[in-house]
This record gives sequence, C-alpha cells and structure tokens, in this order.
Amino acid sequence: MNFKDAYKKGMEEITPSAGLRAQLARAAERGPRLKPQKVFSRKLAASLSVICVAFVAVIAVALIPAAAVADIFDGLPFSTFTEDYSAVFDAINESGYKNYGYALRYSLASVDIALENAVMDKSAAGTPDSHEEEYSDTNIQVAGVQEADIIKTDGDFIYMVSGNKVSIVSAESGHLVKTADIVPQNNLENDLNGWGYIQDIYVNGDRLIVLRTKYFYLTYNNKADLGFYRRFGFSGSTTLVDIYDISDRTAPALVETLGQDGGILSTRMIGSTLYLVTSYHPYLYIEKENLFTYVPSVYEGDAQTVVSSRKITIAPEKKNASYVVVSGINTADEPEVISTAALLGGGTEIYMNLENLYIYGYGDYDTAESDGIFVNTCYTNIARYALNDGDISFAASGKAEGYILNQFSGDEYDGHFRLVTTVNKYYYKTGTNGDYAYSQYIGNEQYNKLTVFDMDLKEVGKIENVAPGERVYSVRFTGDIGYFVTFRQVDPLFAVDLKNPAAPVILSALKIPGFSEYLHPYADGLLFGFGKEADENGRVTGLKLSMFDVSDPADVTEIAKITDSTAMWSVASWNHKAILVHSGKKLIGFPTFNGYELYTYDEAEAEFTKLASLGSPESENFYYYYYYDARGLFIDDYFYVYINNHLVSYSLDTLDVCEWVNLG
Amino acid sequence: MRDLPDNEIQLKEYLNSLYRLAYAYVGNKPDAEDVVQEVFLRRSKRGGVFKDAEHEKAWLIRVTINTAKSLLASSWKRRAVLSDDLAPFGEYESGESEVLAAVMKLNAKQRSVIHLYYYEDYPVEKIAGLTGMNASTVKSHLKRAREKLKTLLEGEQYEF
Repeated sequence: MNFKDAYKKGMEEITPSAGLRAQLARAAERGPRLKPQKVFSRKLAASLSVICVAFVAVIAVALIPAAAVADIFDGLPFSTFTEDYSAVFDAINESGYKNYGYALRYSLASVDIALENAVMDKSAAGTPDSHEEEYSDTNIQVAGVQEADIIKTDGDFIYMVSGNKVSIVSAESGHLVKTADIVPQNNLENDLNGWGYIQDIYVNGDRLIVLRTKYFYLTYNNKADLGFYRRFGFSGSTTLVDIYDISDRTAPALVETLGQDGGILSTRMIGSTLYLVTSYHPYLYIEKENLFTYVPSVYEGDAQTVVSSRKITIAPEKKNASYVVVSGINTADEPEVISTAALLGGGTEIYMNLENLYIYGYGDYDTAESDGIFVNTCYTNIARYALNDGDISFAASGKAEGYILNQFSGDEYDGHFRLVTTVNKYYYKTGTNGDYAYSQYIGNEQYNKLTVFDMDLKEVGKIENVAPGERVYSVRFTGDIGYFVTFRQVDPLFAVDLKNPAAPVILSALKIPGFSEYLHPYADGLLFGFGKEADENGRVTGLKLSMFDVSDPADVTEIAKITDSTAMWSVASWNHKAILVHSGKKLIGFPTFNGYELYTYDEAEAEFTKLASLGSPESENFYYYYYYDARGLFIDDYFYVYINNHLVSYSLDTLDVCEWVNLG
Repeated sequence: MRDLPDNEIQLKEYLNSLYRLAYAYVGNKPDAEDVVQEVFLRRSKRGGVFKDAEHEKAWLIRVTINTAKSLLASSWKRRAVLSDDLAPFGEYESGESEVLAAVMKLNAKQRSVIHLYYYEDYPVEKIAGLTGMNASTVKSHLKRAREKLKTLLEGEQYEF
C-alpha cells in the first residue's frame, strides 16, 4: 500500500471542530469591524497643518478577488474584505514629484551641513554612563534603545563589518583570535540581484543581526521573468535583515532572512525587537490595479506582502511620493515581522524612545501675505507612531516651523515632545511687467526656535527668535533641561528650563569661541561638548573638547577645554557612533586624519589630557583616509581600535600595541 | 450549526490545510486549534496584500510552523501535558489511522517534514524554504522518518 495515500486518508479525517468553524462563520457574517475612522473629523479636515490618515474604504465582497485577503478584527476570526489603496494611489499620482524619489529638502545653512549623516550616538540621554560597565557599547541617544553600528562588542567578542562580511573576533585581555566570518547568502526567493551591501550590525545575546541593502536596476523586460512588475526601468533598493544564531561563536548559523523595500533611513532595537526604518520610492510607472508598483513590500521567506492600506498614513503635502516604511521585527526565537506601517510623504530622520517613534517628514513652506509682501516660512512635518513590542501604530501628527539638525533635535520627556529648529523666512513681492509675472526677493530672516508639543503634537509652548542669523549646531536634552548651541562667530550654549511645558525659559547663554557639534551628558553636573575651536572672526582653527559645568543651568561655565589644531574635522562631528565618551573609564576617543585620538578627563583637576594618537602597527603604509571612520572601544583594561579592517588591541596601562588582526 | 459561507472557500481550504499541519506538528486537536487561531490573529495584525495565493499560503505555513514550534517550546505546554486534559502526543486520537498514529510517534521536525512532503506534496526545496532548514537537512529528516516509520509499521508493507 502507498504510504502517501494512507497518510492523506488519515489526515482528511482531522478537521477543525464545528465550534471553531461556527465561530469563524459568525465573524464572517458580522463582517469586518474596523476601528472607528476619525480621518474625516473636523479636527483634521480643518487643519492643513496636520498629516491626515489615509482613509480606507472597506468593502465586503461576495467573491475573493486575487488581491483580497483574509483578515480578523478585534482578535476575532477572519472575514473577507478588499483593501482599498485608492487614496494611496491618488496621492502618489497627484504628486508633482512622483518618480524622482526626492523632494524639497532645505538645508539649514548654505555651507557645511551634515544633516543626512547625522546618525546615532552613544551616550544615554540624561543619564551619565554607568560606572559598572566593563566594556563600552555603541554611543546611543536614549537609554534602552540600541542603535546599529559597524562594530559591536559583548565584552568577550568583538563583531565587525569587514568589507562585505561580518567578522567575529574573540578579545580576551587584548588577545585577538578570529573565530568566524559571516558572508551573506542569497536566501530569499525574491533576493534577485546579489547579496547587497552590509550597512550595520546588532548583537543581542546569542543573536547577531546583519542589515544589508541591495540596490538594483531592472528593465522593463524583467517583468516577464519576474512574473510581476517591479522597478522596471528604475533602480531601487531592498533592505534585508539576516538573523544569525551565534551561540557557537565559531559557527554562526543563519536563522532567518527578512526583508523590506527601501534603503535604510535608520534602525533601533529595544530588547530583541528590531525597528527597521527604510525610505522607499515607488516606480516610474505605477498601475492602480498592481499594488506592487506603488506600495512597499515586506519579504518573509517565500512570501511577499504589500503593506496594509490600513497601516499607510498620507502626509498632506504631496511634494514627495516616497514612503518611510517601519517594521517591528522579532529577532528572538522564531523571527518574524510583527507589524509594518508606512508614511507616504517621505522623511529625513527619526527619534525613538521606548514608547514612541517620531518621523521627521519632508517639509514645505507656508506662504503669508501682508501689504503686498509675501513671506514663505519653512516647516517640518512630524508623525508619531506608538510602539508596543513590535506593534507599530500611527498616533499623532503635527508640524514645526523650521528645520531640524539631526536625531538629537527632538526629545520626549514627561508627556511632552520638545524640538529645536532653525527657522528660515523668505520675503518677496510679486508683480507683472506686461505679460511677464515676476517675484522680487526682498530679504530673508533666520533664527532658532524651541517648540514644546503635547503627545497629540499640538504646540503648547515655545521660545522664538533665538540667535537671529545663526543656526543650530548641536542639541541635547537631559530631563527638563535642554541645551543647544548656535554659531556664527562665537558659540552661545543655551540652557533652557522646560519644567513648565507651556512656558520654556532660557536660563543662560554662554558665549565662548568656537562651537560644539555634539553634546553628551558626562556626569552629574557636567556636559561634554565636542566641536571646533574658532578665532574671533568665527574662522575654524581646529577640533575642540569642552567640559561645561551645568550644575547651575542658570550659570553654565566652560571649566575645561583642549584643542587640536592639527585636525580640522572628525567623522564624530556628524556621527555620534564614532565617538566614545565614558565617564566611568574616564575615556574620550574619536578618529581624525592623524589616527584614533584618545583623551582622558580628570574631574578633580577639571582637565583634559591627551593619552595617545593610536594607529595601526602598519601605520606607515596607511593613508590618512583610513582613519577617518575608525572606531574605538574598551573591554576591561584593554582598548581596541578598528581601522580599515584592522582590529588592534592596546593595553590601557601602557597604551602599547598588544596584537592586531587583519580582517580584510 | 452555521458553517463558513461559500464565498470563503479559499479560507476554508486554508483552515483545513493549516489545521492539519498544526495537528501534525503538535499532535493533538486542542493545541492545533490554538495554533490556527493564533495564526489567523497574526495574519490580522500583519494586514497587507500578498502577491498571490501561493505567497499567502507560504506565509501562513511558515507562521503555523513557527507558532506550533513556540507552543511546544513554551513552559506552559510542558506543564500542561502533564495534566489530564491533554494526552501525550500521539495517543490523543484513539480512532485515528494506523499510519497517522505512527507518524505521531516521530519527533516534531520529522512530523512536519513528512506532512509537507506527503500531504501538501511539496518538493524538498520548497519544504526547506518553508521551514528554514536547508535542503540536505530536510532530506535527512525525511530519511530518518521513513526508516522509523518502516519499523513502526512493520505489520504492513507501505511504499514510501
């Protein structure tokens, strides 16, 4: 007898109970139950300043079309309905900027801005580093919210992106032994063109997460091969998340690969939940009936799904047809995409704490007119998503005048969101000369602003017109005090009291030469600043480390500084992950052209001292640009520098090289 | 008792298919129902439109396997099987077929591979994709499962 037939016959008798089927039937009869739609409420309709939620019409149908899905509401069994993406399609179709994937992006200043590169930092916001740590972790903005980087350690091993692979090195008292290399594989059905470029990694216990982005260009002809429309005649990108089991550090095992359309905008991790934020641009040609041409997809094994229309939010300005796509991904146990949401209208930067994700959308300008004079005022859209163990739901939206600097521009504390922006106003008048209409520039105005929002992102308080003509160089919030630095010729470090959200007050403005581009709460009453020294004309003369005494925010003083006129810039000026600031170990480190610079700070003496300029043992053969993106970390009494695929260990006692390993 | 309306034939199919897969994995009906409920709950949370029915089914199968795996791994389950409510795997259904009873004596991985191979008629490569194992692992599970089944079913000569 045939086993297959016997098994099938046996299995046919295993059927779901009548009770379960009846429960499903009741749910199906009742039809889909969506949460009440508030989308067309007066509140939103009346205010153009608010990003509206895509309204989704839900139609129960008699037959299941190809695009229909089974779904369940309120935790009950499923019923059938058609998801409607009309609003999404129309928004993209109406967009004057469709297909180009970029939109108006204003710069804060005409020169030397580093908005796009502002990524993440390594210090816990508002809380000085713990003194019990035995090793340093990636510099982060918010305690408990991890940020990805090219290097990670767990105190025993160091994990590094080394070319287009990830290397694991055991680091015991400076002794370096490579235990494994991880080379990404093609492992998604839709993993069409190569394995992509490794961007960053995370390590969480026995799981190592590799983030890589694939870029590809497909022509129209590919349509037949693929069986579906995909980026024909247009390049695109998909981000893949490889999750490895590294319980055996010599034999990492791939557990799962998940994917999401778009290139990485940012990522965060809370516990074992990864939040992947990508930026996705639809195709050159979109077809209403083909969702895959204009709605981003998520990939899990063989399954490709487009984001549910119920999870898509449409920003009011349709200047940009790109999406910000956010997925909550469980990386532990059996990895899966928990939920995915998308913001149509694009975005530039995020801020995330343990409960909320804020996406800074592309801005536009409002135009006002008075006595024939027009003024355009720039603004930034903000969308808040509530997070719950990987579940992501749209919660609120608002807008702020001006542009943000980076992820540190905003901060949520005690039920309020605070944001520092630089506001630009452009004045002009219009007229006609015969048949020819013209607009005449009159002048522009720039100043800085701090806005306090409630959790609905409604403005409740503000300070305006701060430092006219200057722009923001750095921001940091510590609880109910906020600090920010503006600059033109000298560095005013503003300390703001935010105890009363409705009435923030500037407590002090310390003016010193130069400016800080990164602020880091160092220890009780101390704020560390990393930036540039400048002469009396505002001309930059080198790098500067400052320590500010902020024990009395009304009387902030610079109690120590050290400058380096041999280095004009550091990658740490715009990438906070490249700087190490650890008050417990009294170490401050960052890369420059000259090598990896290591400093110490003596609190008692209020004094910085340079310890060493660490390089590779092969440093004669190294070109300066190898240093620029170096990283440094310590484990117990050893310091490790990662430069151009070389990991070098140093004894912290002598600062002599112990060993090095070439991972390239 | 009411049943699902006819226009939900596809869902009915999924339901049977996933329920049987869950049963093959967890080995008893109450747990299989829990698994299926959970799977459809996740489907709801997930939302979205699948490329086609094949993709949707592939996704559902993966989630079913993962959910069943988690259920077996959970401490709740380890405690629960000691109670009288649930018989140990493989002994719950007294009236079930001899073949099914034998399959229930395999381990969970073997059971799921056997099910996908013989019930869903999936080729080894497809099973690898669905379960996250690589193809050679699937083959070796199949091989060991067949050997064990031959021993368990020695009364009858089955062709595998």
